[in-house]
Amino acid sequence: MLVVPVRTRGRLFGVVSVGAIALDAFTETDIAVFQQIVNQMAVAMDNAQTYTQSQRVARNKSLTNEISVQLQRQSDIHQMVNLTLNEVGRAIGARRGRVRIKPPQNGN
Amino acid sequence: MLGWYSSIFDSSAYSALTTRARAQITYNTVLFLVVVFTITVFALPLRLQGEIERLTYVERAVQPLEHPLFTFGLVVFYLLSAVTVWQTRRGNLALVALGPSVMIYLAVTIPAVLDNIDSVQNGLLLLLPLLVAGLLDGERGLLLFVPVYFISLTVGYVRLELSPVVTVLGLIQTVIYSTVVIVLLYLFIRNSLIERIQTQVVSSAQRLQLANITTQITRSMSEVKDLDTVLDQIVHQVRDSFDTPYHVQVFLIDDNQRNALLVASTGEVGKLLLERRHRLPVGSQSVIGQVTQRQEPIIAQVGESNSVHRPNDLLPNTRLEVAIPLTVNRRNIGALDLQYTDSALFTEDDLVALQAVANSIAITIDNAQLLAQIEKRLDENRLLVGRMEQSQLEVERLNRELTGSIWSDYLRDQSDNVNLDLDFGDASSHAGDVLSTSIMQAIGNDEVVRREQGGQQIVAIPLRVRGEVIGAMEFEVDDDRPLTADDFDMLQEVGERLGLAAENNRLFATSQRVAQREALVNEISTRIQSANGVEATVSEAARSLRDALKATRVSIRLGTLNSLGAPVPPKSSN
Repeated sequence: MLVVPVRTRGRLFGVVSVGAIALDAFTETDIAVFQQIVNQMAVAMDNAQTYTQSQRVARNKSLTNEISVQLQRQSDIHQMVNLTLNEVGRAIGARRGRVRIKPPQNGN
Repeated sequence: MLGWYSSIFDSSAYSALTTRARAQITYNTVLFLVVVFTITVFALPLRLQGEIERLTYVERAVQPLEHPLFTFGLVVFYLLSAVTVWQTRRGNLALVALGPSVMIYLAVTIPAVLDNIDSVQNGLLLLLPLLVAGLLDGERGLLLFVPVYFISLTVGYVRLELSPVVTVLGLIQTVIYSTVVIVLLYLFIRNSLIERIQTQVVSSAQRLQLANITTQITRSMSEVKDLDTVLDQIVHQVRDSFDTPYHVQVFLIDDNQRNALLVASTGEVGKLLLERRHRLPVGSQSVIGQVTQRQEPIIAQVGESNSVHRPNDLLPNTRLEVAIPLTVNRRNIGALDLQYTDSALFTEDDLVALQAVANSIAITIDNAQLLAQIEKRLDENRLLVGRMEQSQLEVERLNRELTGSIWSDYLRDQSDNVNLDLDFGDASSHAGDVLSTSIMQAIGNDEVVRREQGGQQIVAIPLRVRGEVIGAMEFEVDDDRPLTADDFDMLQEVGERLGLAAENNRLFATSQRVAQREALVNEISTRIQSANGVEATVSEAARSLRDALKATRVSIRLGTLNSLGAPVPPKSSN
């Protein structure tokens, strides 16, 4: 059985193992090729994760800017609250959202 | 005369005092030899083979064909004199140290030996260069001229052409006498050398003692920061290191330069004097008074007619008092005072060492005072910074309080409830009034709250305006949609932007309200100014106020306090 860690840039994603019935089934060349494939897989996984994270950050930034632009167009605080709650809630997949403003202090 | 002497016999080319002294000895020897030789060669007739010659040295020298040695000796003597002085002035003392000896040998010894002068028999003329070489150049000169002497002596005896017995006996006799002289000269040179080494050893010991005291003073200063403690250690170190003074103390001049106050003193007497706060006026008839005024060391013996020593009843054994000024940048800051039980215990060398110690003490005091000043300023600056930070915190607190107060007023003026609940499942919304635990925590602690409840993630983010929390927004998200750090960043940023937009909106609404009020005031003012007469003006004012305030009744009364008793019917506008 061959077991090779899936690792790139010091980060461990997991391990890949292959087994064979016959003894001495894997030659040195097989091991080298297998190691190379696993390395390529690790790089591909890392790239995929980086891409996903970048996409998410870009989406969040875009959403933040969009909300900001829309907030500047509003002249009513109720609409601002409604807009923010709706947009953010949908972006993060929330079930419910609520906004509470601190109650006015008495005597002021 | 002295100026003439100094300009010719200049020893400024030598930096060391001992070398300068040796150069002066060489000059003086040359001068002495020139004078003696000149008198001798001009005034005295020569003695040759027991008979008085009628000719002097010079008279022979002016006959170079008959007496070439005398001519050669005369010329060489004065020439070598000039060369010796010239080279000594140029700093080549080591080169010409044997100059006077060579001068004598060439001018006197050689003519005497080769011309059968009787002086050979008593050896005086032959010994002379050897003696001068030994005295001026020490062992080296002696070593060089001893063989020359014995060779010259032998040659001189042989040339006398006496009988062999007389020659041998005379030679032996002269050798014995001259050997005694040479041995005595050698012993004298060795003794001088030993004395010089002894002086150097004493000088080195004094320098070592001085270095030790200075090191101890520096160590005290680095180890102890309190000036009084440092000075106390220093006076004890000075007393113990020098051993000869029995009482040592330090005075410092006060800020107004009037009194020298005792700040450190040795022994039990010192404690008593310090408890008394012993002080002496600057310029008073006392050792300390004078040293602090004159800024130069004072050495006062008890009992002398003009002594400035003032007896102290606690120090009755004092026979000699020495005070050294403590100066920093030519500014007198105090004095180091030492008292001796015997005036013989103090030497001039001690004064030099004590002056160096006093300089170290002055620098120590100055450094300590500078350090104290810097620390004082540092403390003041820290205090000021602390006050500024407190003021800044107070300003921030007031700013937040003001912002909170303004927002409270603003929200109170809002007709509808700003709080909102949204359900994304059925897309319904309604005004909410329940404050959840997460929202209260987010508002109260001004922090993002995240917790799990019933298979859901609950996230609450505070909403801020100018640092003041005005509310919070909360979301419920299913567990199967985990929130990442990027999501939290986005939530906080959106919260900040919502607060900013809300504040802008409030400011815009406030500005609009102020503008409307200003326009209304201008309009009423215009109407009032357009009315003719007091009655019309008052009526217009009342009417305008009724419209602006939507009042049902407006009353304006004109009059003075005196007329309060007789009320005037008000002008009414309905």
